Amino acid sequence: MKWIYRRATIALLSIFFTLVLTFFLIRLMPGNPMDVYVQILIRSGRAKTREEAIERAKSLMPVNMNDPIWKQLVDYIAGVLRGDLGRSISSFTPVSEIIVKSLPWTVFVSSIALATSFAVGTLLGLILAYKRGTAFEGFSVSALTIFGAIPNYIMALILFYVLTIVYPVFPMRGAYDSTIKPGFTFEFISSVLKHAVLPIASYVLTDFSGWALGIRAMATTILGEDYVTVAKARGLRESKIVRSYVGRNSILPQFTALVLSIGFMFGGSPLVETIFTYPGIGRFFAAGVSARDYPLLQGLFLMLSITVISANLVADILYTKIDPRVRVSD
Amino acid sequence: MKDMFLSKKQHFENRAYIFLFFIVVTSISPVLLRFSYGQNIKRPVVFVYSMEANFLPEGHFNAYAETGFIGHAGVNMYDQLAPHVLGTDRYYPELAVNWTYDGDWLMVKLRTGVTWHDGTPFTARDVWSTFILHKIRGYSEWGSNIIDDVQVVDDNTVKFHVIGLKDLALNWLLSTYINGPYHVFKEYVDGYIANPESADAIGVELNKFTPRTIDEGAIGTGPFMVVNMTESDLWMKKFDNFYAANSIVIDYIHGIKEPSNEVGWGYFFSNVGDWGEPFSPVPVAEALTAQGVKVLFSKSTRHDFIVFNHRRPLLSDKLFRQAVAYAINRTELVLAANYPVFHASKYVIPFSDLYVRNWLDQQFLESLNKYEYDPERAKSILLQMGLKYNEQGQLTYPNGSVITLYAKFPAPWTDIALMMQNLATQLNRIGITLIPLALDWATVATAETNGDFDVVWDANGGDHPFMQGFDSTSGYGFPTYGAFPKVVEWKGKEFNLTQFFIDWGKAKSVDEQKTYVRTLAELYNDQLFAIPFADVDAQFYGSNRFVYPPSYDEAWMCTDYARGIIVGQIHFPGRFALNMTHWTISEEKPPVEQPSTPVETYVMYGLVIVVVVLVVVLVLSRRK
Repeated sequence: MKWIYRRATIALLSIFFTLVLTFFLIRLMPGNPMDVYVQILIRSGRAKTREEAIERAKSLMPVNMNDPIWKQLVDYIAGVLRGDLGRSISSFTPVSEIIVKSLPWTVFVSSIALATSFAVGTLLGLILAYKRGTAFEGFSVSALTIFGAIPNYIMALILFYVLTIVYPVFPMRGAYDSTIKPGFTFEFISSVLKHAVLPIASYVLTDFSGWALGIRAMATTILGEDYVTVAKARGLRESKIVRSYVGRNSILPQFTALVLSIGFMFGGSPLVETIFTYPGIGRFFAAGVSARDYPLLQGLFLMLSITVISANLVADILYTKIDPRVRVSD
Repeated sequence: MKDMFLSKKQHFENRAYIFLFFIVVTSISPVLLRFSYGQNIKRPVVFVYSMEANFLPEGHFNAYAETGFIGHAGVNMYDQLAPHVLGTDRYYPELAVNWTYDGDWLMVKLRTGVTWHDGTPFTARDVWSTFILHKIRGYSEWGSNIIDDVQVVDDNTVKFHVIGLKDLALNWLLSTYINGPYHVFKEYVDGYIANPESADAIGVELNKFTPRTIDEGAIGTGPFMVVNMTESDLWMKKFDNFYAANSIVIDYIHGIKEPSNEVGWGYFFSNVGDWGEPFSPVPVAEALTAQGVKVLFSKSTRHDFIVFNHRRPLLSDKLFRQAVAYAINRTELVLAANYPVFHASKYVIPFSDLYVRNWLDQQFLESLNKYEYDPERAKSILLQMGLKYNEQGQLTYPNGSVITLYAKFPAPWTDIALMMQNLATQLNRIGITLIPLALDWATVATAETNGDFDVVWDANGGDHPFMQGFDSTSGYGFPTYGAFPKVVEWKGKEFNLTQFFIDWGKAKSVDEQKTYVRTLAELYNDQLFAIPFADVDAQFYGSNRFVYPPSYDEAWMCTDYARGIIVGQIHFPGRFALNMTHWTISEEKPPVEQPSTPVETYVMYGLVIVVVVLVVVLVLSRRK
């Protein structure tokens, strides 16, 4: 238990350090939100003079940009401790509201994609390990390498073109059919699932190969271990050997990567979500950087750092449970 | 006796035949019924509008919040007093049916019988409320001393006290969208009237007011009202009490989010979109046209410039700018950018072709310097300035250091990026080293706002030559800080640009206005504050489900072209219409109850099926 408290404390300190680091890093980027908004106002014709645009832009700034930087940091930390992440400059919507409304969609798609790609990748990796040396394995490894090299947004564009334009099998955009009233109904749920297929496929088709190749490498090594040879000699069924010996030990090294992936999935993919107009959190990262939306970026990076650091902590704790060879030393 | 009974096999066969018949009959009967009865069911006309807008969670319908307002939809929700036809002196009555201007007060008579989408009657107080909200926000007509008062005369009359920019004031005021209903914005408007010092605080509160439904205050007087909004879709329904509802053939507008050009192209390649503006390079535009998508142009909506920072040495010298003008082949530049929406400027003046024909005569235009492409002349001007060429052919200062200029532009703007690359190539031919810097939008914004650049791109717009001139000359309109001088030496005298625009604003007659336009054209042609190189047409895409007027038709010229297809039905009946020969039922289902299938249809279905089955059973039961 002492170990867990220590790790938890380190995790909290890491989150705080990330918060402060992020605060300064985003302000090091050239450009600032005031200038962005001044330009928007003048170019759109909503302000005819620079002075008018500056005056109007000031009303948007949730913090006084002329305050000393240390005061802005203190105000921000105080707000975070109160649960107030501030308001997005580009939309004036509370950052917490943006996160609450968008994150579930990202988590929904990313979690299914992660689980599917891990499951498919693991199964395929084991099959390839057993089929090592065959033409099937050679071809599959090459194909997996190619799939793994394709960025998920390129896959998304391919799927968008083929499966919504050339062969319009799936919906082009959105999280659900806008003509259906959201609710716990078969119609709504099936619409949500149908709209999620292509974003999920974009992630799965590019991610599963990494898991497969990793499991294959581990399984190939384990198949040569003495205890597997003994298990075969004892006459154990092949399925039991795969399940209890090869599979379980192959997954162990991937476990940490899987848990960390869970943390990172909260960030979504800006480009995939843009292509499918999927209302996840990813597009806000891209929009926030483009507009130098400091409160939005700070809130999103804080959320992401909490999830990744927490996932790391959970991975450490769970690893000691699943691998009896690993013990915590105080 | 044995022959009277059917065997098991025959029973099975009979049942199979009956089942098969049942399937066939139920499959074809809806088709038969549709031809006989289904045509009477009204099918809603859904117009699918691809919008570059954010819907939930940030989109809303408060035009006075600084961000989040869904303008594309707003132009179909609200009416203007009287939209102006670009390049002319014509206005089309919408909420304003009559107006008089005595040189001091502009008296506007409003249409009667108009209601807001929530049923509240529209009155002059709503117009007053809208302009008070403008004042809270510091909109230009107040800040630039165009009006200093707006008053309600009676329920159907409002008046404005015009104090400056007399001719422009009419255009400016009548083109205003009336989108600040008093009963929705009461607390803000009354709060300001009670305490004008509180404008800033009220402004912050206005940013937080985000109505998204009619109940919340998302209302207008325009032809369409909000029904439903999600993160990716917006539904609007025809307002049955709209004053010209009979002219509107569209029942629903389905706004679909266009997060990128690629997605926008996808909508048109898959015949989903009826209207959109995804920027398309030539190959994509040609592919869309080949598929039957209508490519439409609204002429000269933008006039593009290469802008210099006059605070930098060398760039502040008129001779250098003139040399650059001779060194640029404007045709080559626009071909590199994006033909066909770009057209090389014929005249080097701050007005687009649209205004040239109405405000300046041909003889005068021909007398101006066209700065025809002449790189040798450009070189001779540079040498005349005392600049030199080194052994590598690079232009240098007298001390030998190479002249290097930096052009900053937003990297995602493909057309501008291509233009800048080509500009660098062309200037390099006469030895000027121009380095194009593709930066992200925020970095460029800061550079332009603070005057940290040598060369940038910019454009003017506006629907009046005053605005085009103002935008492209004095530096107030161009968002480039300090790029232009306020006073220049011209024809042996000091010419004060600021005073020039103030005086222009007081001009009353059209002939007097034309004198100012001519003066500015001449000044610009000589001084080259910036080098205009292209007229740009707005490019739209439309489906073949609608009939659109030809490009360059006046129907596109009613300001805010985004609403042209919708509101054009009112002002230009017959030029926007449904193309019934190509009309197919939109698969988009409006989020309201569909016209329900009449009971009689189901009865007929049932009767047909029963009769057919009975006949089949009777026939087959007599088989052996």
